[in-house]
Amino acid sequence: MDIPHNVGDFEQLVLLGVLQLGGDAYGAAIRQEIHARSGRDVSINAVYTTLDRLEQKGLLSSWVGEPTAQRGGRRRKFYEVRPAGLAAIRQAYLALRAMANGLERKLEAK
Amino acid sequence: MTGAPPRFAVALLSWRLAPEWREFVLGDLEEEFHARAALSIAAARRWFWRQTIRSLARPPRARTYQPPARGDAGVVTILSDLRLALRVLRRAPSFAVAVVAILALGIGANTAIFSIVNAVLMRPLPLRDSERLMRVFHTPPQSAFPGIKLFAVSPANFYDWQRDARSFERMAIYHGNRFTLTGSSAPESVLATSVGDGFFDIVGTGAALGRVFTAEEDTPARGHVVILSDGFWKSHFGASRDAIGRTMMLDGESYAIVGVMPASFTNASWGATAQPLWVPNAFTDKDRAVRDNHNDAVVARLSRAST
Repeated sequence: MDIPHNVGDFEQLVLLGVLQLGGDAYGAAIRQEIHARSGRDVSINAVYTTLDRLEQKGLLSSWVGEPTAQRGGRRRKFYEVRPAGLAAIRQAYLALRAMANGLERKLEAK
Repeated sequence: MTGAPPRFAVALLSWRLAPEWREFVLGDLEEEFHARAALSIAAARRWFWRQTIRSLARPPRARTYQPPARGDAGVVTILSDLRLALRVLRRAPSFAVAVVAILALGIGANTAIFSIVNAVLMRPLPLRDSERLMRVFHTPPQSAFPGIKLFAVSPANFYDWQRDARSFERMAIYHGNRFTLTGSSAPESVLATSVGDGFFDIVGTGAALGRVFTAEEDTPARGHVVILSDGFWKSHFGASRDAIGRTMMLDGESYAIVGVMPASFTNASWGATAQPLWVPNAFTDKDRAVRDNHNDAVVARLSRAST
């Protein structure tokens, strides 16, 4: 099995956003998901730059949907996590969880 | 529907975004604009402009990730090292200044040393057929001078060699000298090369102005003549052509200026050419008979028959 890719902080947020949205992950939805869950009001260009990078790394795949009136007749570009992306985010998650083990009270203190 | 996004912002984005992203980014922004406009159209317009400004500053870039190239790992490593070095230097300006200063010193020192090596060792002397010019030395008896391979030459030995040698067209004896120049401004110590008859013929260079020494001038009676280097001529006579025929006081004695050598003759790699003045040896018979004092150098030109 290939060694999982190391992914950066924002790449992790984008990968998790795509996973959370299931089959409905496109730019605006991912941006809102990150904002709603993490509080980070990121720009749409940052999201697309990262989506493109993750796709280039082979961690995401994409396809283009149908035009909608709500978008002025424009199409959406949808993303889904590939097995390599799942392995990468799992590795990041396990590493963070292992490092945080025993620190919950300190980390979650208000 | 709840109005439309600011038209000018949309036009700006259409202009700025790469075609591959334009449809998706504009569609996303318009979709979210409508969702926000349902609550407040003014807030939605402000939000749209903020997103526009952020996208104008840094639009999504295609191909931001370059997968590692295969087959040229060395080049990839060098490039990534260079990028890292530039980032480090930009983050620490004082370190960058120190690095630049050290590099400048290193490059400067290297250039200076190469200039000397090039001039002294690598570039041929600007003299006629310089590969046929030879320095001739005395080989001392090893019983008396163990380990010493080369000696300077004594006048009596030189005149014997000059008389008997067949391998050389001509030979000349010379040595370094120092005079005190007086008569114009403050007294000045000046280096000179004292040369025997034939020296300038052997090195194959004539005077740029005036002439070189004649055979008769290598005698005590007529030896008070001097040839100037180009640099000395310019610094002490303002490059005046009238310098020829004038006199200079060297060690309190009057020397007539007979010539000026070309600038190209002065060469740091051979001291005999590098001094500001040349005077004849003008040895007396007694000087010529000295065999035990080895203070002179000899230059010779190989004969055509010799290889």
